[in-house]
Amino acid sequence: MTALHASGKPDARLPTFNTVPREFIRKVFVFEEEEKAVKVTVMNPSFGAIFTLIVATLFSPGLCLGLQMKPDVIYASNIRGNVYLFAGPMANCVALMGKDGTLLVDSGEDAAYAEGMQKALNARSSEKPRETRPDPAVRLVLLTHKHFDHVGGNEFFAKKGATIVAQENVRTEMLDGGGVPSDVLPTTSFKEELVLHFADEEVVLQHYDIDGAHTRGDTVVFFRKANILCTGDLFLNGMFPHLDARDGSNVSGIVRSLRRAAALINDQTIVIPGHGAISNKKEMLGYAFLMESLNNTVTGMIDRGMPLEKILVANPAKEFEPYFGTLKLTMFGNDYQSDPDTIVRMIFQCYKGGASSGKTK
Amino acid sequence: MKPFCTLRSNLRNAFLFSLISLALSSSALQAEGAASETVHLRGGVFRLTGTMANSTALSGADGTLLVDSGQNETEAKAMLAAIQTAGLGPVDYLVNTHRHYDHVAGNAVFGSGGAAIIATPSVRESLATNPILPNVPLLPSVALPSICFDKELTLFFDGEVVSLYHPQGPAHTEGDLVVYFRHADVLATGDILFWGMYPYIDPAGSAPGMATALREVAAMIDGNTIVVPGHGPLTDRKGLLLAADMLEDVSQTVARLAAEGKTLPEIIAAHPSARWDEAFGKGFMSPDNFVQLVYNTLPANTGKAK
Ligand SMILES: [Zn+2]
Ligand SMILES: [Zn+2]
Repeated sequence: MTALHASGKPDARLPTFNTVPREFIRKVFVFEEEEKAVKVTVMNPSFGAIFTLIVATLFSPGLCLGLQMKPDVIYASNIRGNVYLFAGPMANCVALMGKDGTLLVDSGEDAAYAEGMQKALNARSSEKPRETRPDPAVRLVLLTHKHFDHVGGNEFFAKKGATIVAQENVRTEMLDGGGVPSDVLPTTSFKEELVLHFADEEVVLQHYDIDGAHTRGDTVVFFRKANILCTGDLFLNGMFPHLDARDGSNVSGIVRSLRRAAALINDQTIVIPGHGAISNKKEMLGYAFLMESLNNTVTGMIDRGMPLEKILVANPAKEFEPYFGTLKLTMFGNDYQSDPDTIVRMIFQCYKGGASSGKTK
Repeated sequence: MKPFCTLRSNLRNAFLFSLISLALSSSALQAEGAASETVHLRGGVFRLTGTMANSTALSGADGTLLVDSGQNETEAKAMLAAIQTAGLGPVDYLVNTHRHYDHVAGNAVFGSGGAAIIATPSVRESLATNPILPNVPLLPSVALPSICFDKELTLFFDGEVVSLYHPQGPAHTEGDLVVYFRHADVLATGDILFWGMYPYIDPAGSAPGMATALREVAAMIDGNTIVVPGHGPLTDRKGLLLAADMLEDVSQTVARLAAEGKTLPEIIAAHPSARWDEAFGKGFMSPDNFVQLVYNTLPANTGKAK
């Protein structure tokens, strides 16, 4: 199975993840009672967001469930209508089940996880009365972006006949990796917007024509009737953004994309981030706001000619640490870190990388 | 939604129906015989015969993609039979180039067979709201497009790269798309191109808009591309550009005469399309009817005349 090691080092003022009673996690994150799950008090735009992000960080399934959940108990949480969430040890995947089949947003980290999701969908289907029983066979896989923890189950579902849909840059980026089997690649690629009518739902995919955000092919998926937005890794609830200069990442692109996505939704929308606990519009915009101010601080230092070492000493992301935690994951031999130093390094590398082709606005 | 919309659309469709079905009655009759055949064009791309509008198919290991579903279910079933006779795979995708009945009436035949139907969003909206012809029921939901894209959609299917592209509109209608099979180098234009005849123009479209769309699409292809028009025989990039020249020339002349204060009968009497009649005037649409259409869809006149 997946080699998943995580070492959380949260702020001392907050209870550690392992001390949160499991029943409570289930209650909050398995969302059998939807209202409890979504209701989060927000005090004012900035502090409110910080507060809710503390809550989100605390209970982020990417952090806490990830530590405790065994991959063989993959669970499909019914969030609203016929939409289900797989709050996995890694990326969040979302399923829409209907009479003519199932649509999946992101395919998980690998074939084993994909198979686990399929089993959970089969179980969900069989618990429904025969007349209204949905077909758990996955017909469509929509990718939010190219990263392995979101596309690892492609082959599993494609071999069973699913069509893989993504923004056109995702296919190009995956092909650039070389040696990719064709079953893994998206076979339906759109440019800016695609609307799917599936399972009595209107599924809107939007890519914002912005010069790189988390990657160059980020797509948000909005279930209009169920009022659920999947952001992919544009929004990592309780974590700093993950940036990679090779992917064209930059924080300002992420911020602008999130603000464009916010135009689709309202205060009742359930927002499902790429990783971390489910959320809402205010939290998502709060995240964008905090990341924008951090980004402005760091890029301002770069513009004033400060070398990376000095910026790290100044530690501009320190004040965010309680809210975005310190997370270190090793997945398939790669280290994934979310901490104040790492985000500063990432902003520096990506900003420098983009500096020759014009500053990010 | 808005009742007058439905009414206008009915009038629109009635007009289209009377024009096309009367003028093309010979091909319509041909369809009564319900015979269709596949004719290989290039690569995995085929043309289907025996239908009023041109339908194109891509076939290969993954199955079949069909462009436009015929003017009625009889035509659709004939095409389905032809596809099966030729041993081509099941129809997994159906693309509607636009909302007119002669391109969508067979949707249910393929939709109920499991095809995913692809179109621009306004096509779905129109088909879900308005009957495709006067006094016929709305299409069933299985006939509605389920994949709707805004500008561009690419399918990697049967080893082919299929680019679906919505040129800037309104052109023939407000929601036209073209289908370009890149490897086979075959372009199916839908009704932004009628070849060998003057085109019908929907009240939502315009002659200059069609010319702009044709020029935009011409930039995607080259001299070797096989161009399948919405109606009429196969042509190429030159033919496509000639149609664009014709649309521009006639609409400019008609607009100039209208600006000079000429009435529609006076404009028709001036024969503004005379130099194109040899190439385009022998089809289902007479030069006079075409001039009237161009006049009605001039930006200044839309909404005034039906
Ligand atoms: Zn990612
Ligand atoms: Zn037509």
